[in-house]
Amino acid sequence: MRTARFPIDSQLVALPIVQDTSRRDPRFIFGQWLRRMLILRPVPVRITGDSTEETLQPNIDLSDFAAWFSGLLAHAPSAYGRIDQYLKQVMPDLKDIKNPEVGKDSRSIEVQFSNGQGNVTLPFGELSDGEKCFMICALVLAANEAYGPLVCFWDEPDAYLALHEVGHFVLALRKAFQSSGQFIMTSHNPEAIRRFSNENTLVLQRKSHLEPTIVRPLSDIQVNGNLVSALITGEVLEP
Amino acid sequence: MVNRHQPHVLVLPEDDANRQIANGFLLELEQIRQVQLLNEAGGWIEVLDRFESEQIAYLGKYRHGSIVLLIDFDCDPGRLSKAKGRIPEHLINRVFILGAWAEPEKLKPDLGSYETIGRQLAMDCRYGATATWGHELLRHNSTEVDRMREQIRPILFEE
Repeated sequence: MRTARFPIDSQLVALPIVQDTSRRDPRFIFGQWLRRMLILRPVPVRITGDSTEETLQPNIDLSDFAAWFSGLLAHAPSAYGRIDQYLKQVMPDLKDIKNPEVGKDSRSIEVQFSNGQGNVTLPFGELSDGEKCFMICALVLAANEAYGPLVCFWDEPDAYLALHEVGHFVLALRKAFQSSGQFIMTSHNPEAIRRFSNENTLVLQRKSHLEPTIVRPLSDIQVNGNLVSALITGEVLEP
Repeated sequence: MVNRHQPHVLVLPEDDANRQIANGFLLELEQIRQVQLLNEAGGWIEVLDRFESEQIAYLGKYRHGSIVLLIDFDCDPGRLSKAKGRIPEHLINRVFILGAWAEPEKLKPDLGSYETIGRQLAMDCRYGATATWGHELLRHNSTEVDRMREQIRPILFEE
């Protein structure tokens, strides 16, 4: 008698067809947590305000930012309050954000600013790269409240920001995620790095393209004196 | 950026340890945009040098600004008066000098990581408690903390 042999793990075949029994099923909860993980490496210049659909799971480059905006507000209209609250702190002349229909099943975000001199309405795509990052930050904060707790990994969120905004930007994210969710970011920016402490900073180092990246907690590394100076001299990167 | 024409606070830490304590403190604030953490000075003398060379002019220009100088006292009973001696009389009400009696490292066995210490100090400030400020290496700050509570608490902690 001959036995059939399968060259792949039977569990890999079974996993996609295992049905969740309820929303309280650990597999459902784990799957949803994975699906809703935010992994962000935005390219602001490519982000327009146009959308033809809604989503709660944006693309890594946030080219579907507007679909995320639509999806978040459809899921939790009250999230607009959180978005508005954050953005008015960083852009005090912001009046409101609209997302009107511009065609069959399509919308386009426009942002209105006003001060004592008058009003101006800009298509989302005309905002600066830094302003788009403020918008992304506002959505991250609102999403964590609306359908979190989320794990958010953001690659260099400070890359497009003015120096005097970096600290407040990082602090807003850290503060929002300290009660629920988890926020992880990478940075080469000294001002951003200073807003974390040894206990929650990891140093990533790769000696060559042929070797793996080594990850070490900063708390395990002896730094003499100023951290940023040690980063500049490369002292932190010594094995 | 802080709104320099509204009440705001600058924090000038002596070193990396004090910076991390400040990080924890800032995480407990309500008005995070009314405070700006400056680069570490590199020593208590350097804190005072930077205060004189940069911040005196700033505070003169922006009357709503205050500054907290975070220094180590290195068990020197005369350090506070030495430091205060370098603050111009017209700014004395807007400058606060705080720090560990020895060095912050010695607080860690009792109080936890630097960020945890900073958070606990902020909670004390917020609720008028002395659980952490009352630590034997911090209680010498009581006069400055009382003054700070009175003047800075409304800027940073009111929702």
